[in-house]
Amino acid sequence: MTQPRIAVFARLANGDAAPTRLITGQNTLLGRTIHGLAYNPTRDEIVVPNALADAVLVFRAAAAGSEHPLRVIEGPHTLLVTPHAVSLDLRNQEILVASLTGRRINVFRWDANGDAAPVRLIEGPKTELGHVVGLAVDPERNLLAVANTHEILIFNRTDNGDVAPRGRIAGPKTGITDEPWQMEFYKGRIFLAASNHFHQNLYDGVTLRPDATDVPDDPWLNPILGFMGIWNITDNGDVAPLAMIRGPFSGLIHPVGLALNPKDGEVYVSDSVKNGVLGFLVPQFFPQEKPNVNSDGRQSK
Amino acid sequence: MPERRTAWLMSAGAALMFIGGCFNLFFRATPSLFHFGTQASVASDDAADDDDSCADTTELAMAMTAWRQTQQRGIHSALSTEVETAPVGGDIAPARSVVDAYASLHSVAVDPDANQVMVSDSNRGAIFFYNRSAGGNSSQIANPERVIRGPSTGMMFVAGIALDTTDREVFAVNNDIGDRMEVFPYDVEGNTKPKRVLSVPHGAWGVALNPMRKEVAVSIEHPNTVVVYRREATGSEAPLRVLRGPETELADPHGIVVDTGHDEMLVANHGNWAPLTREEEQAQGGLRGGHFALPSINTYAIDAKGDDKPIRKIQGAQTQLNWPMGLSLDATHDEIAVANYGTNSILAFRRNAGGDVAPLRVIRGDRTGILGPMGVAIDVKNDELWVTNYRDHTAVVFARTANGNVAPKRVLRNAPAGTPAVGFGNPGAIAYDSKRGQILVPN
Repeated sequence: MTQPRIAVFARLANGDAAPTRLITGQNTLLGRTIHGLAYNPTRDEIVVPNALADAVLVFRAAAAGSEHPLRVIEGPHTLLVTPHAVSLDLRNQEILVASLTGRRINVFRWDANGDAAPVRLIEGPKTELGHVVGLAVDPERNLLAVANTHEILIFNRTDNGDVAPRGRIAGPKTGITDEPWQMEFYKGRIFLAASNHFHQNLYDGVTLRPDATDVPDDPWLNPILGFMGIWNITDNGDVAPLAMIRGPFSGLIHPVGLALNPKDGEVYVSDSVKNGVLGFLVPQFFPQEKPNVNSDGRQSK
Repeated sequence: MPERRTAWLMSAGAALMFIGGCFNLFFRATPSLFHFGTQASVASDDAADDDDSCADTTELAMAMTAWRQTQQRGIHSALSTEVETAPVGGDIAPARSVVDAYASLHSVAVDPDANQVMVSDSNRGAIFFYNRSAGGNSSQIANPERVIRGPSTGMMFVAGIALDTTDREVFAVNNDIGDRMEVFPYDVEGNTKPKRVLSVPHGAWGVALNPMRKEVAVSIEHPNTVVVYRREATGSEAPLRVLRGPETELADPHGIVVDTGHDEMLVANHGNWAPLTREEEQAQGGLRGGHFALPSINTYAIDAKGDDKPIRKIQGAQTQLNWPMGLSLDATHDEIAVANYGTNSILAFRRNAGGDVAPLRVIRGDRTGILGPMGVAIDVKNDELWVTNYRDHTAVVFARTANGNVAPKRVLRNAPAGTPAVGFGNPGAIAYDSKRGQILVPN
């Protein structure tokens, strides 16, 4: 995170691989702390927040070099404060943005530009929003999953204002302990990179906390292993994941980023300690649609 | 006779492979029999003698420890009670891993009197000590004299480093969620505890020492801040002063250097600016939003604090500044050098330059070997200039006054020539471009 950029790798890249393409340079308006990234296949665009300038940038998906964003959502009417996570609702043509220190979720039209006001805003004490770094939308069921401080919160997709979550996946059975990170959604299921690192800082911004004592342990030496987990978006309570990838041979220690490739049955996970991206071949994680079968056993068209 | 020797060697080889295979199976079946150590604490005495300085072994140790604890707690790897309908997961090995096996060179500092060059590695959390004359024209790796690395060091994404050449200490700040500064003596190596550890605000990048005032200054990206501590500060000690506020025009600060001769402090800025919290925005009279400023090198009085303004700024189209990273001061020739990451170049300015000024010199072009420059250090004694390349496994050394598209005098490699540099810096998010079959990875 010490230098801002977006690097593009071939799906089959392995080992010491050079990126095939970079989006980098002052003109890109990228900043560090890029904790969200989303690809829009409909518009062939990528959406990325700049947490250090309170902005959301939209690039051509094929952008390269020091290319300027197509659109920049930024300004006082956006109500963006430290935007970390982004997600796309392709059906309803919306960009969802989680503001970390703003403790809110801003929803914009996907073609929003400039100092645009959000079409909806989830914020307030009832929401219980805290450290939000992951979002996933289920337009089928009209649900929104949020990776919150120690849990997954479920809202109605169209919630607006100070609303309580309708569901919560939290507790010891979930295996989530600290800072669940990037989320994706696929056919009724939430895929989550559960980092489980234990990040403590003695400072509140630049002010030393009154109770600051010893320097905290290295957050990446937290022995509680992180994992990639799957839940039904309708789960509620202390529910164990349907499945997870976890353990020493997975290479996952404190995973943070996550992306899905259902076509090839693959899940990609970035890991903080490995400082790398791991690709898992798990077609069993992507249930296929059952074909409609006629009474004669033939697949209907 | 040769046949018998060959047969014996084959038998011996087969036996070794069998033993190795048995060990591997035994290890996998009963990992708890093998001690890898547990959570390491920077301040823990019993971690000091751990001789594991291999980052990959460290990772495996962490994973195995966590796995054992997970098993003991009874949290299962994969299946819930919904096993009949659940997709099967578990401890699955990845099909592919994009990981850089080599160091990613970040910052560089030179002590010509000790004939040492120190380089930070933000990929595997290390500091490398090289002989100052290391490197050359070879395509092979230059061997460091010493390496500080391992869990006891507490280092992760090491960014800036600074040297106290009098007391022979290295100061290193950790970016990302490290939130700390470590101090090591010159002569230590391996998996060793720091001499001092200081907690710093989140997003630390640059570090600069002021031997005259016995202070250390640290630039902090997120809150657009410079914090100044006592040189000997440790633990949770509070800063002596904090430079922060809209009048400072600090905007995503990175490299920092102290000019003791003129009692000034210079800070490189990327130009991203936003209030840190919603409360802070509201305290300033309502939400104003963030903004993008032009990159700059700001100069402050050495005792600047609060919302003090810069004395001068290098900023504007003529400056060629583009994501300026590390800074170095040449007090003898009254110049500064800037690692200009965005255009793979090194810019040299007059120390007291201000406004929209062109650089005195620019090292840039395909012959320079500069690729993603993160650190820069001027060695006046030997009339050289060092550059660390984040997008290549190299540090390149130029004549101090090099200008234009010139080849370096020496190349110090930490991987064989041609080895790709992955260049990750804790990728906190990823995306899959289903149209192009590509994985997008931001830093």
